[in-house]
Amino acid sequence: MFGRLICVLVLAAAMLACDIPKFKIAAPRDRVVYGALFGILTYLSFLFVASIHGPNVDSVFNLLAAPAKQIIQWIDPAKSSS
Amino acid sequence: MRKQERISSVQMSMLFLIFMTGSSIVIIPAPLTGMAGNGAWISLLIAYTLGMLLMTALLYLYKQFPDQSLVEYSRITLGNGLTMILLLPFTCVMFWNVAGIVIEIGTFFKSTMLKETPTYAVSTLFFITIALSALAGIEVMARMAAVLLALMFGCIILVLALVGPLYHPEYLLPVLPDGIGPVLHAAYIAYGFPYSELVIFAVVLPLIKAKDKSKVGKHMYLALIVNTLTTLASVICSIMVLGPLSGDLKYSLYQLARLIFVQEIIERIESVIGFSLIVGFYFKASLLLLILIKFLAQLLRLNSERLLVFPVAFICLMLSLTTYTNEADLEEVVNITWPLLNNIAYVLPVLLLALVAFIRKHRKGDKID
Amino acid sequence: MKTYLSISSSLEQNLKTIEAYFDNCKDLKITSWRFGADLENTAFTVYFDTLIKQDQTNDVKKALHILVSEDIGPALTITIEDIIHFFEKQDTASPSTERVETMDQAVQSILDGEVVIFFNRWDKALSYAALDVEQRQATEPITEPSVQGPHVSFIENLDRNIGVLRSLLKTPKLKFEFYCAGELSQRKIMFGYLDGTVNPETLNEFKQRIAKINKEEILDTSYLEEWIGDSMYSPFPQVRYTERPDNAISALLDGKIITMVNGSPSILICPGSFLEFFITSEDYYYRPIFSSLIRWIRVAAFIIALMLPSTYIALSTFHSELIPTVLLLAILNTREGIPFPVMVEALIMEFFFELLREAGIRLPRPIGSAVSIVGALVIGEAAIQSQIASPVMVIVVALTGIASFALPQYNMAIAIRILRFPLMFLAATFGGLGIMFGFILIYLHLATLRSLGQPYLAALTPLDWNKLRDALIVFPRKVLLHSPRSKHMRKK
Repeated sequence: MFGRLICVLVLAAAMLACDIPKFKIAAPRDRVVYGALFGILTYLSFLFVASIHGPNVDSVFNLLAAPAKQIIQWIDPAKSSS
Repeated sequence: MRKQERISSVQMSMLFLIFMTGSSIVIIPAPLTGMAGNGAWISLLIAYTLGMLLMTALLYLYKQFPDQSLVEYSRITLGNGLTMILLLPFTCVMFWNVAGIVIEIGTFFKSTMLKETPTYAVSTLFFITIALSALAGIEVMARMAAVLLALMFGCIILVLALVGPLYHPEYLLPVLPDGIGPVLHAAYIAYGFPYSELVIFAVVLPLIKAKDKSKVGKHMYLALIVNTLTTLASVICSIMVLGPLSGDLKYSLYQLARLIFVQEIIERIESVIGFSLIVGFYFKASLLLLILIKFLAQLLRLNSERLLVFPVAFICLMLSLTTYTNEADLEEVVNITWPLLNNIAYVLPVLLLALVAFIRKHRKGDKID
Repeated sequence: MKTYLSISSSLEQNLKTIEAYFDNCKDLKITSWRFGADLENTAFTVYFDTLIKQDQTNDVKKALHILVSEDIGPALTITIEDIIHFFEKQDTASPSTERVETMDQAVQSILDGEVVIFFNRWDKALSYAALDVEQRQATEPITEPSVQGPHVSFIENLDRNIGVLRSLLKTPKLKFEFYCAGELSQRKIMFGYLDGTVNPETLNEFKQRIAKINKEEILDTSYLEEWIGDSMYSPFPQVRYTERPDNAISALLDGKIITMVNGSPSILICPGSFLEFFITSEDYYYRPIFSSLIRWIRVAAFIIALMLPSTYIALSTFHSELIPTVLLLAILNTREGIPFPVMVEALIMEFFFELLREAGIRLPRPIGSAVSIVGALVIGEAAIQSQIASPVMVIVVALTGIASFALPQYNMAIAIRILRFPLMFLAATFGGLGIMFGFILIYLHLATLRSLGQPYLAALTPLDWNKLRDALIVFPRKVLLHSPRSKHMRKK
């Protein structure tokens, strides 16, 4: 866990160091978007460092798993999808 | 804002070629042969045909709107609201697409060469490189493409040639032992990855220099053909060498490289081949990141796209480390869910736009008559 | 101090002004003398004793000699009116004599090594050039020797150097422009180009950048790199240096701009592109096949110098299976008993080597041979015997050093020295993957780099077959001269 935490913190620090000058001269709209992205980032980092499986993109994708299996069944009825 | 960067159509098709071949050359042959056995090459051809159709739609839209990117002509054709709804899945899926490539390469290295290094270290290194490349812009990437393309194709040809003594052409028969079903199944997978991903180039096609605009079609079709031929060669060679095993061993090209044995000096060179192949992964991921950034900037009407590079890259890094960490889950999503996901998110908007643009154009034509 | 003080007609006033300016400059000589029928006219001569040719210091005679040679009249009968009349109404015909209008000009002339003569009752002065400063002979350049070809180099005198260039390229298209910079050093900067061959955009860009230099003291040609170069943070040099006229001439013929500063023998050639750093003018004196092979050796030297230590680290730590078995056993044998991991061992040896290199530059010749012995003993024998390093590591470090000397341009070798270390770190952490990423990052950096606005990887990346004719394979001159190499010339 500590290795992950340090990794995330170092990367975040480097990123902010590079981006703060650009952030200062950015338009308000850009700043809002940056803030939103940063928010998503914080959530995902938390999931990563704590090694827990919270709601994520894969949850959304898995919703489509059932219809996908249906399609494969239809294409190739002989082979059952593995 | 810097002045708009432009590249030539040859450079664009080189970028396209690396994009399509980059990761698929290593990953694709194994699932295809696993599904369809000796008929895998037929599946590839079917997938190629579908890809060709998509390319036609893409180029049609490019001809109609030569200076505008996907977001812009979607707004013109369908209006603002519908654009946002239609392209939202586009965005989410593309985020994960970048992450997906890195997950694949992490798995590749973990299972073959760097077994002790923690995944997040390799992924971090990867993402730093990709972010810096996307920051450099499309002109620099187009400049890098030539040498990297030569490197990648050089390695592929080298492997396929050096494995020559081990070819058993009889493994190619019989074709279609189980009927057409498995072949179609494999074609579905190949269509999902990488052929249907080509539509995202709609975002960057307008960056081609004005004087090259007429040659774009020729060059892009050519690139697609070269890509298919290379993948075809890879599939056929892996069947000829590994026979019935080729479906069970992941990363066919790497497995082929392991078998190379020339005079005791050139043996066990799979590591070298592995490292050269990551160039393809790297470039595909950088291109995807670049396209994603441009797309986001246009969708949200932002002034500066450079500001987005690092946060987006970081998000994709986190996505790669938190989703589908289980190899079985990953395989399931790639083989089963991905084609459908791809179609809804990428292909559907583009086809819809092409259709609407086509109808409108002809309706206008009728009115004039 | 740009006050255009005028010269007064009163000799005493002028004398006072000059003495005030050059207060405490003890090497300034002021001599008063008289002339005329009754020696009623006074004048004085001013010059820097340290700058003037010794045989011209007999100023009275010299001054009179000038006046007589202007055919004003016999020495005894010259009056001030004659002088004024002659020098003001008719311009100075003698090439070495000039009329000085303002006090500022007079001061500048004195500083430039000229003798200035002030006359009573005339508000102008005369000056003639007599500069003589120690100059060395134009022998072979120390850092760029050659087996075949001219053995001349540039010296520190700018005019002499321009003369050498002019005598080698006899065309009015060879343009030289001057620029003065530095408040205290007043250094004359020259840049030259071949009109019609040079790219006009590049030339404009260059002029814009040079124009920004104003008050900076330029002590050497390399100081200019800061203004001309695109990125001072990149380890890769964007300009080339040379001390040989034939290198400069071939650069000019290639459409490059050369720059030089008075007091420095090195010429700066810009814009530089990556492939050029592997070329010397000597390549064209030999047969094309030989030159091509030598170029390949230089490229190999570049790769070795950059990647050998990191490759060794990666191979021995991560990918032992790639080394042929027999060699692997030998290496493992010699590495037995060494307490450090390969990375630390490599760092120690590289550090020793860099120390030796740095020390070697400053050693006086008598001690020089002692250092080679020390180097061989310490780094070679002792390190191996005491089990600090393995023989293979010594070979690797030595090969790397030798390879970096094989590159013709020293500033490119410096780039490699710097980049070696990050690559070693990457190799030690990620193995071959790290090296691959290092290579990609370096390549990415090279692709973004520009030199005077031109892309650094000029011939490789916008793939230009015409330029590549001279990059890695040297074609015979007949082929090279078949069509122009630069795009902007082909458009004509």
